[in-house]
Amino acid sequence: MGVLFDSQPTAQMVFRPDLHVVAANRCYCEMLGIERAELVGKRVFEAFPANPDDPQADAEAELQASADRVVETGEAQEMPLRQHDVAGPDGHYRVRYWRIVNSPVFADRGDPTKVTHIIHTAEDITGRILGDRVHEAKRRAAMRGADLAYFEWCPGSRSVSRTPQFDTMFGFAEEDHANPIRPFMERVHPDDLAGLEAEMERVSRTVGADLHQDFRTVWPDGTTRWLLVRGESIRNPDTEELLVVGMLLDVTHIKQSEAKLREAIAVRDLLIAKVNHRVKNSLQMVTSILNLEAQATGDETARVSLNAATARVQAVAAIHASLYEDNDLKTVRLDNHIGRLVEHLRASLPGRKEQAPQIVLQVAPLRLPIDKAVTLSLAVNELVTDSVKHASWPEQGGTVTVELRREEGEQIVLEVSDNGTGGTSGLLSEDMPSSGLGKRLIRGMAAQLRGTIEEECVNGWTTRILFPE
Amino acid sequence: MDGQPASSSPNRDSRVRVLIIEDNALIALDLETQMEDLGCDVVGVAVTAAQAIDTARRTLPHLALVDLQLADGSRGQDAALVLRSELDVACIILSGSLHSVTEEERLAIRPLAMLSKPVLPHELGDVVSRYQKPPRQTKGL
Repeated sequence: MGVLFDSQPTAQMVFRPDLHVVAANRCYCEMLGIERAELVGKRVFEAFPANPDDPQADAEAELQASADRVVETGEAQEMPLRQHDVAGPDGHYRVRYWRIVNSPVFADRGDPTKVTHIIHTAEDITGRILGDRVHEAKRRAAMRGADLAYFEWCPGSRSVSRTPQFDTMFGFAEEDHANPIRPFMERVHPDDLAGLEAEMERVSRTVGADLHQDFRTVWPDGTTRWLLVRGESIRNPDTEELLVVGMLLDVTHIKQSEAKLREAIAVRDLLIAKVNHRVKNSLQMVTSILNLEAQATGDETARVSLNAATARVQAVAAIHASLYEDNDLKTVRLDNHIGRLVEHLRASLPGRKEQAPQIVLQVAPLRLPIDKAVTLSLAVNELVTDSVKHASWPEQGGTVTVELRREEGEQIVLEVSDNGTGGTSGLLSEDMPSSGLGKRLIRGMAAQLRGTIEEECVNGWTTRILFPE
Repeated sequence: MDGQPASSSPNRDSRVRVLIIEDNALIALDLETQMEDLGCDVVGVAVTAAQAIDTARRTLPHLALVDLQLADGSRGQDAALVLRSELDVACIILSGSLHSVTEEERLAIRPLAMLSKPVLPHELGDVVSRYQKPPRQTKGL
């Protein structure tokens, strides 16, 4: 008997109904870190007294009560989960949680129904309990920090067990409902209900499926909150039923911020469109005034001056027709723009059409910031106008070439060249009194681009403005 | 500006008839002058969509220059839709906000051109010069 008892893999001790220890197996003594001799013959709690620092350590009374029930009923009793701290060799108490079962022993031959001893089986579940508690504490902290509610939804029974925050998020007081899920579904916004039900249906079909859906809940007082539900379907280990475990998160403030941001962007876009429209209309008015003035004047010199002014204003204004046509609000694509500008020059420059030089464009599809594009437009306008006005053309016909390209080192080159003769006096001849507004403008524009001017006269004039991108 | 008359005949009846739909008086005046330079006959200037439709029904223009944002908040494209569907008037849209024309509207109006303001005179001149007015007395196809 003693050998059998000692070989048990579970910790066992035998005591009489008055709590005097009769025997303890090796496993029990090892578990408690105590010698068998210290135990046998003593009352249970003499051998390992309750932790005096633990105010709830009324274990002795509980053990006595359990023993009394075993004697009374003749049946085994499981004791409530119990913390009973045990002193180690150094005298310090260590936290221990016990799952304890007391079973009756009938050893009185004269009275086989009389409980003579009690077998006390103790399982140390400290690790499991502490692990669970840490897990619980982490979950509580996470839920508090993030306005979370935890739930377990059982699709089979259409019930949901949950933490109190779950009810609060639907505008219910904690005690309002037992487990049916129906009252909660009734508070889902009608527009979001079908989507949520479809998602729940999907997740409840497959173990391991992820639940992820946001929806609004509408409370009887009209309050609307945005909730995000996230979860996962698992197999309930007890019932084998499918269970969806998850969290509910109140995301109202995030949704509100998103809506405000969308609104702000819409207002901004509207303002940009309005300002843009106004700028374009104003520029149209300016060019219209100049068109009308040029049309109305009878004086030929005045008309020429007005036409020149119109061309300059249009070189600036035309940029705005190309602006905001795509999503890039900061830069202008130059090939389109310069093409338009030169087309305009071709049509509007004085002189009979058959004598007019051909204008050839070789413009790379570069994009430049608006400021630079405006400056460059004016320079193109002046250089082309200057060539057309002042050169004499060879018999096979005149050509003005406008070229724009990027060179190594991020340098951009605007080059306007013609095959004419005479006329141009050169931009760089500073000794000459500034000959005309056109030349002063070209020098000014080049300076504004922080560029340099190069010019040469080989088979006609070539003017180059080199500037950093 | 030495624009070609859209029709070479001096006969007034054979000239291209243009309705200008523009609520800015100055721009309207400029457009009117440009159209006259091109040899067109300006039949009226309308500043709202309703006025444009009314004038068009009375004067039966071939062409309309259409601004989009009109006086009293009406929309040029609404006038253009009626002009195209009811009177088969060809429209040239001139605006600072071309992007407000939807694809659907564009397909219904079938504009000859959509020009962004500020419009350079030659751009408008090119489109009007290329326009061939349909022979009279043949309605529809």
